[in-house]
Amino acid sequence: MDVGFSLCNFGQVLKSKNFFFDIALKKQFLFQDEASPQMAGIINLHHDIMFFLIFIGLFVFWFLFRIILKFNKKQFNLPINLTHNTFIEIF
Amino acid sequence: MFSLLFSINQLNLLLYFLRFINFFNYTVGLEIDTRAYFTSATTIIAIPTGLKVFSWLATLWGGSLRINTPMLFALGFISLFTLGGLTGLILANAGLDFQFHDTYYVTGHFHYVLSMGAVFAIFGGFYFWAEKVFGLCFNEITGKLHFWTFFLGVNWTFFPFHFLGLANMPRRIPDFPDAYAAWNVFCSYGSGLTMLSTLIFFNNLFYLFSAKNASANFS
Repeated sequence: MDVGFSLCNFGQVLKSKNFFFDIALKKQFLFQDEASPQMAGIINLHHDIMFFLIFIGLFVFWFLFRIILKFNKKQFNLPINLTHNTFIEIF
Repeated sequence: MFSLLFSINQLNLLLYFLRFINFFNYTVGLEIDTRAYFTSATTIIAIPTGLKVFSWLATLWGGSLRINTPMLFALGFISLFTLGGLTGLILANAGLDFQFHDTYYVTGHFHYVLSMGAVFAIFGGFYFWAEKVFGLCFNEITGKLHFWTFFLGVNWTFFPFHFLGLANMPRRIPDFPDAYAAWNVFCSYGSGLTMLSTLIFFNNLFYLFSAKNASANFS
C-alpha cells in the first residue's frame, strides 16, 4: 500500500505503525485506502483534477479579494468611466 | 451584459432541454461510450458557468463598491458558488462519480451551489430591495453580523461534507459507522451557528418592520 495515500490519515499514521487502513477513520480528510487498482486509478484521477481546480479556485479568489481591497468606496471613490462591452463581446 | 445573457441561455439549453447534469445517474449501468458522452456534456456546463463568474467579477472590477450588507451577500454568493462549481467538475467525471455517487460529497456540492449560492443571493436581494419596497430601514450592523455568522455557519456545516463524502459516507442512510461521527458532530455545531444567524435575521426583520425606523424618503 502506498504510504502517500495513507498520509490522508496522517494523524492515525503517526499514532500507529500500521499503514493498511481499509476502513474509514475518525476525522479522515481524504479517501479510504484502496483495495483494488480501479480505486487507485480513481484516487489518482481525483488528485490530478484537483491540481487544476486548486489553481482555478486560487485565481478566482485572488481576483475577488483584489476587487474587494482595491475597488471599495474608501480606496477607489471614482468608478472607472469606461465602457468596453461591445469591443469585448466582438473580440 | 451580452455574455451574461448568452451564458444564461446556454445554461438553460444545456440543463433543462438536454438534461446534461448527469452525475446523479452515472451508476445505473450505462455503457462506457454513453458515460464518456455524458462526462463531456456535463463538463461543458463549466464553460457558461465560468463565463458567468468572470462576468460578475469583471462587473465589479473598476467599480466603487460600498461593502454594505447586500454587497457582502453578493460577494459571498460568488465565492461559495465558485467553490460549489469546482466540486461539480469533480462529480461531472463518470470515472470519479463511481466513487462519489450517493455519498456526502454530492450533498456538499449541491449545498454549496444551492443552499449557499441561492440563499445568499436571496438574502442579498432582500437586503437590497427591502428598504425600497417597504420604505423602512434594517439595522446595518445586525445585517453584517447576520452575514458573517451565516457565512461562517454554512461553511462550518457543509465543508466537512466533502471529507465525509471522500471517506465514503453514504447519503440517505439514517445511521452511519462511528468513524463518521466526529465530522458529523462538527457539522452539527456549524448548523447551530447557522440557526443563530437566522435568529439574527429575524431580529433584523423585527427591527425593519417596527414603525419607529421609517427612512427619510418614506412617503
